[in-house]
Amino acid sequence: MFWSVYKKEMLDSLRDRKTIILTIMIPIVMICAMVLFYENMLSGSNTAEGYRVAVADTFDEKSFEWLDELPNIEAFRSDDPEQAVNDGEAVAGLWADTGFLEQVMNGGTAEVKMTSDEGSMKGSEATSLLRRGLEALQETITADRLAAAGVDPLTIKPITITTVQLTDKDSNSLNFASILLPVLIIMSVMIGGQSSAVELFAGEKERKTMEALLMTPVSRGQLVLAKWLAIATLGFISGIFSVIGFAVIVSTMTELMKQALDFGSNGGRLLISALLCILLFSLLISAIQIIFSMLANSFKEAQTYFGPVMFIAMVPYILLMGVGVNELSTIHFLIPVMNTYALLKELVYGVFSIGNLVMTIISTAALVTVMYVIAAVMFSKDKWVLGK
Amino acid sequence: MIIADRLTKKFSRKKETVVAVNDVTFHLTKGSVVGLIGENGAGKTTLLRMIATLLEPSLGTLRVMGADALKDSHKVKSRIGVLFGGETGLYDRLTARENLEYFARLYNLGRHESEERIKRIAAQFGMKDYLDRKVGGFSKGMRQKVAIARTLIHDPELILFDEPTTGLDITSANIFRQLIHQLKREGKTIVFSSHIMEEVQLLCDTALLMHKGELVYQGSLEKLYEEEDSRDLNYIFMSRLVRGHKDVLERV
Repeated sequence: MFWSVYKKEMLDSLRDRKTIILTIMIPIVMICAMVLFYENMLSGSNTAEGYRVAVADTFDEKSFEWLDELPNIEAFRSDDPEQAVNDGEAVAGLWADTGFLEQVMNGGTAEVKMTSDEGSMKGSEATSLLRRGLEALQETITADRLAAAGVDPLTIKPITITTVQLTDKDSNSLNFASILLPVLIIMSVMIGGQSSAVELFAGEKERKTMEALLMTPVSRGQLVLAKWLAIATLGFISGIFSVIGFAVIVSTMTELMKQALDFGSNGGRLLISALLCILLFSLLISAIQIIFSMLANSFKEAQTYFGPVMFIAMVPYILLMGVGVNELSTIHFLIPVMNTYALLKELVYGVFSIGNLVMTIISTAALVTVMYVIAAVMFSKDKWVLGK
Repeated sequence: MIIADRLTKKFSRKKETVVAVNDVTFHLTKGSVVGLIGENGAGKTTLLRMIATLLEPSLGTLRVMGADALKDSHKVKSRIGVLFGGETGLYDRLTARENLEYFARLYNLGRHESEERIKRIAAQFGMKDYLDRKVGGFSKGMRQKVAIARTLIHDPELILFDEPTTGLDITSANIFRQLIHQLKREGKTIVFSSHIMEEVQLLCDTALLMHKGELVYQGSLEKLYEEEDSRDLNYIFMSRLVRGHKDVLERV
């Protein structure tokens, strides 16, 4: 009997165009758009056509040429560099004393001012490039001056600082994937089961098909179990599609991210961990969705409840955004939902920890049980099943 | 077939308690066609829902086909067919056949038995042409036929209809009336609520008259005609309600 109800719910849901779009299409489109956007951004910063920098008229020809030769900088003269930035003609503006290059080359000093729109990523990248160029110039001039004075340049630079990366993979790509993939999976699972959760409880209540169902000799326990698993299955399928979509897009359309996410022989167990994680989250979120769907008396009412649920599920994600993979601690793996984000983040970095996986499974399974019991108790009460 | 003893159903909404069915006692025999008559809000649907084991009585006892409706609801459910008016309770994205197969399965019918029943019912209701089409595109009459077919798929002994002809066109309503006659010939017990007195007069042999949750008459229609010295059920209904209401007021 359980199987008949489950099969019917799956058939009914998969015949709904809305479910297909939300379960399969949306995750793939979202992933495609975000991965390609980021890949473009990453590769764009390396091979950019050039940031337009407005330079004050006080720049002499020699200083202007030096500036224009800096990588990715496309300088042009302006009466008012600040205005040029405000008007969007330039991403950064630069002022300096007249003949500043000549001045500093001849042992003098000069002041250089920069500006950019603080909210603009291109602006901050352009000022960063300008700053690096000026610092390199400063180092060269300082070294020359010290050499001329017979002083070893290392006298003023006793410490050499070298940053060693924890991984030989592209850290920007890894960081982006660790931010993007967990939230995409979580959103996909939530969106994938949402439409059916609304249909199978609030929708059936509104259309009165629930009454017809409850008048059959099938126990309410079997009905709620079959419906719950059908919703969880759809959420799980959606989550799997988001992983498959991500893998296909990364391997076929990206270079940097593809290299960064090559897990080699570790891939198998990372994938199994991810699947377990998605499965448990699907079971958890579908039980929560059932509860909210039962609270509603109509399709529309249920949909209004689902917005805040999705927002709440995003809170742990926001809290974990600034936490590095090596900073994740036991507490992160003991709090349901947060542990899903944390574990997926770890997996993206190629870290497999059986302890963290077990903690995630146990704590999520405990909450799944609690939520399912609440849903089943609610389903046994006419007030929640039949509505007003 | 149905024995109700001091049956009461109360609903609590916020601080208010509404008594939908109040202290109702009746006895319906096997094979009778019972017309449940009353104004809107008289308690007809609540009474039908209690018989269908969809609602638990607040007070009193209810035995349906020898089983306690509260303690043995599983046994009762497998032997009754219920159709609430205006709501067909069908799944739009499934075909008529899939809807019927699904409910046949829920009523524990085997595949072969289910196929046979669907074939027979489809022929009986003239549903063959649209049996494999999705219900979402059906007219109200077609939907109602499928809903009735769903109600009868497991060959129930007791059938409950709540205002079954509401919204039906003349042809579909006539098909329904013919069906009631046929079910009566097959020895089924039928309880249906209706506003249409002519329909009750035409199809029923027994009447239950309800007013504001109370039963103001139970018995055969013939006896009612004799008592009122009239065969105009509309007139009888109105006069009984007025008297029933007075009785209630006097008791209060």
